[in-house]
Amino acid sequence: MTVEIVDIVESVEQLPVLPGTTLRLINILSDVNTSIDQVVDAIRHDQNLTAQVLKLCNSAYFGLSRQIVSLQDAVTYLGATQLLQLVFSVHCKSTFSKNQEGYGLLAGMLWKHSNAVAIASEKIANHKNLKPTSGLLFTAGLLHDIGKVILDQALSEHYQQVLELAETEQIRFDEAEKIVLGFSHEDIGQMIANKWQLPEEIVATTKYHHESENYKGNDDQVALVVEVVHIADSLVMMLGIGIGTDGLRYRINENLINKYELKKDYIDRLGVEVLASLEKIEKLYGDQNSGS
Amino acid sequence: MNKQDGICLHLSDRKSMSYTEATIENSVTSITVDIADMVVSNRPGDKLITYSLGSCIGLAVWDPQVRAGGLLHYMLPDSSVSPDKAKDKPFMFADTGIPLLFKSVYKIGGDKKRLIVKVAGGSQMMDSKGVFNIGKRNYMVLRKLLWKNNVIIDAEDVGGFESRTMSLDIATGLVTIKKNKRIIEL
Repeated sequence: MTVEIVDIVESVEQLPVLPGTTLRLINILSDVNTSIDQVVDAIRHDQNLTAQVLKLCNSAYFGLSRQIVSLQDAVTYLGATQLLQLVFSVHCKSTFSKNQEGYGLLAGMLWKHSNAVAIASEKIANHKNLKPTSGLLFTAGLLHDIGKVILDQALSEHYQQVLELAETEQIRFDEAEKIVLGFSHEDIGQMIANKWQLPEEIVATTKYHHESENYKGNDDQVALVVEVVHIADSLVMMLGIGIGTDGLRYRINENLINKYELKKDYIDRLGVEVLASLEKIEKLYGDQNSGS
Repeated sequence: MNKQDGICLHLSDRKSMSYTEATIENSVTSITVDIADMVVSNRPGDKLITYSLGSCIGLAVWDPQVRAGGLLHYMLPDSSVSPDKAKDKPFMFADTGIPLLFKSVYKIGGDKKRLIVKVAGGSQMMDSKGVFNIGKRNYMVLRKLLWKNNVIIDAEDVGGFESRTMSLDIATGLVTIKKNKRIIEL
């Protein structure tokens, strides 16, 4: 192993563990058989989060006619996706929001990109009436690029080399990352997801979101989450929401276009809807300093 | 103190359309043009800038005589997919955004015959065809619209796989493109 590879592995190892509440909530909300009580139980031990949940519920944004005072009511009202949005913005936003020089992402851009992919993933699943637990799909979408957070520093030193290789060999940017840096951002993402002990759907998405055809496991739900996030990510990259200097040097698995009945008008409308939802979220959780 | 007077019109949507009369000191003010957004200006110190053009298109027009211009960042070719949204955010679509860019520049003194037109963006993913080739569709609509209106594109940097940042300097008309961490003049 070169010195840099050791550095990268160490960075992953030194990454703080996901806060217990977040991890518990991801697992609970990823399970179809979850009861409201389990969710409430996971939140109520975290005073800060409890306060935030109630505050969000009673914010002008929702315009409820009565004040919600019990966590139970708040959780029921918000639902899995809103809860995860809140949990991630309380506990994980700072990890995503740093300026990333290697990928040329200004502060907040990766967070914006990740949210857009999470939103688009849920919308695609709804369009096809697919029902993996919505919390799972949202989380997989949100965390798919987490590997970039760590790989960024190594990339910033070798960007031109990675770019040149991708251009001359006509390979994807992540394939060039792997050759030059020893890891792709998907490899690192998978290491982080494993370290955080996240559900298999999320681990597989961090690893295969640019090559869904290479997921060889036989779990249909895992394959579904990987494929949906792959489509969502491709669309969001094209729309330029939080894309960096890797640009659009990725490939779309064209087989999925038929499988998910993705017509031109639908894709365009989805783009409109994703941008609108993203603006709502930004209003709700504070503006991001980012490009568009 | 060298003061610069003029008008900068920032139109993120029709509802918030507002003219700002500005008087600022002699320094460059960077004004960000968001996705589905447009800004026009005749204030010499303004530099209009738009980030992360993927398959979206950045369209810059500038009149060298009155030194007025505008920058549009549109996302999709055709407003018919969402007519309601087009009312709210005309700059999201080529067919509603492009005419409005030209009209807005005329309003601050620009003349069609003198306008210099520059285009950037319209990237695509590798091997993408059909449905997912938003970049190509975005560019085709632009070409068609401009051709129908006898407007010539003076310079362009479109296609490929890159993400671009585009800027227009109102004082000089200089258009720059930043891609792959390098800046080029268009």
